[in-house]
Amino acid sequence: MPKTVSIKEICGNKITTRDDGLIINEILKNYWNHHDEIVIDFNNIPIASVSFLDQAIGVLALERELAEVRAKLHYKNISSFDLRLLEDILTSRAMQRCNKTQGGKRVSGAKSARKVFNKKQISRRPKKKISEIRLQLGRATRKKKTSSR
Amino acid sequence: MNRMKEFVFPKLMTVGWSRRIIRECTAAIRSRDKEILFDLSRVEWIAPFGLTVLSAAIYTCLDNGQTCKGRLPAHGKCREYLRRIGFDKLFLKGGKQALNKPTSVELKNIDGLDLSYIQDLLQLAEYNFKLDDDDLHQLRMQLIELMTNAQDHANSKMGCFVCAQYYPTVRTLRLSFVDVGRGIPTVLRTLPKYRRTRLDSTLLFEATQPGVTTRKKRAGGMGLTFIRNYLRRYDGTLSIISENGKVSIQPKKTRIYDEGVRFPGTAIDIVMKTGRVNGNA
Repeated sequence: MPKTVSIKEICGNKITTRDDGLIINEILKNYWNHHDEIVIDFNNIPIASVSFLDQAIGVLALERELAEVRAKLHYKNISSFDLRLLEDILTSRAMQRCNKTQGGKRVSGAKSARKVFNKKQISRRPKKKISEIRLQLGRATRKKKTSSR
Repeated sequence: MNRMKEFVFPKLMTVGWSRRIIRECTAAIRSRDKEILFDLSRVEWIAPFGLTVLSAAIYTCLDNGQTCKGRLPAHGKCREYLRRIGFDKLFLKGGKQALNKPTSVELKNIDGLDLSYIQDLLQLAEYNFKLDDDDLHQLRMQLIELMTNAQDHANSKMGCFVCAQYYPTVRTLRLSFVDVGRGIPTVLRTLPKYRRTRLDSTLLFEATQPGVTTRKKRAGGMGLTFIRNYLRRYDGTLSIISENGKVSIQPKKTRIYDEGVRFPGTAIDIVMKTGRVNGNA
């Protein structure tokens, strides 16, 4: 049976800071292993706070697989903006986790990070030797020269 | 004999003129003269960035026990606007206290996270600017994040100054946040990873990257990243000025440069296009 966590009952009006989000996060962590589904009821309260949503839910995607988080958590009475914001937060955290797990190497640029996140693996290009690069450069310059003639 | 020192401000008080404005403001803060004159007579256009930086400078001078006087703009509309939002009260006797009284939501000094101010500003935006729900949510998100940042990281004694302006013809909302606490580069240099980074502008850019935070043993570093991403999506611009660095993140390009003058704190300027969603959204 799914367990329901009501934001209004637990936090009341305190739904903005990271400290407020930490309360929800701890509750979710307690329920995590005991329930297959957890329903978070936002009670139609507009949250719009990255800090709160990240600390309450986003951090979970940093510690666990995104698929697991998505399968377990369900949202009720949430505004469309908050849902979009939450999805963005979860994706960012999952990308961060993915980068961390790849030997702590930072993947620069959002595009490449997204690629890694989608493929779930890094295809590392073997480093080219200097002699190879020189050879290639030589070929390129030769081609240019021939084309100019 | 105490001589009154004059600080002359340019015609345009916008983020584009940040270097000149900050130079004058920091000189005023550093000066040891008992009386300071802020000469705004040439000013014709004053954007939220100029207003907040100037207010923070006057506030700091008043806090240092200096007397601040002002020469209001000769330009009629500009002078009228400053009077309407209660800016001229800074120059009255006990200016600091005068500004704390409720004058207008357009320029306010707030201490920490002020949800009532956010609500006031959102109401003003909803009724006067006719913003849609998405814009209102976005505005709320940005206000919350920036206020939390000023409270958590800046450690600013005076809190922060917030100013908002709306330009209906171009459907643009300008929002500016200024505090005179610890700047972003100083805070980031407390981390071992950035201890040796020399350029302030590099650190400012790093601060907008996901996961970069100074919170110990806790996750963070999402606020500025999300503001940046959402602004990009809505064709907006985010400018951050802190200490010697300046970063301007526009939809298609990012400009990073060192200002040459040191601003003792952080100024954040946001330009948000309202009621229009980009194709990427």
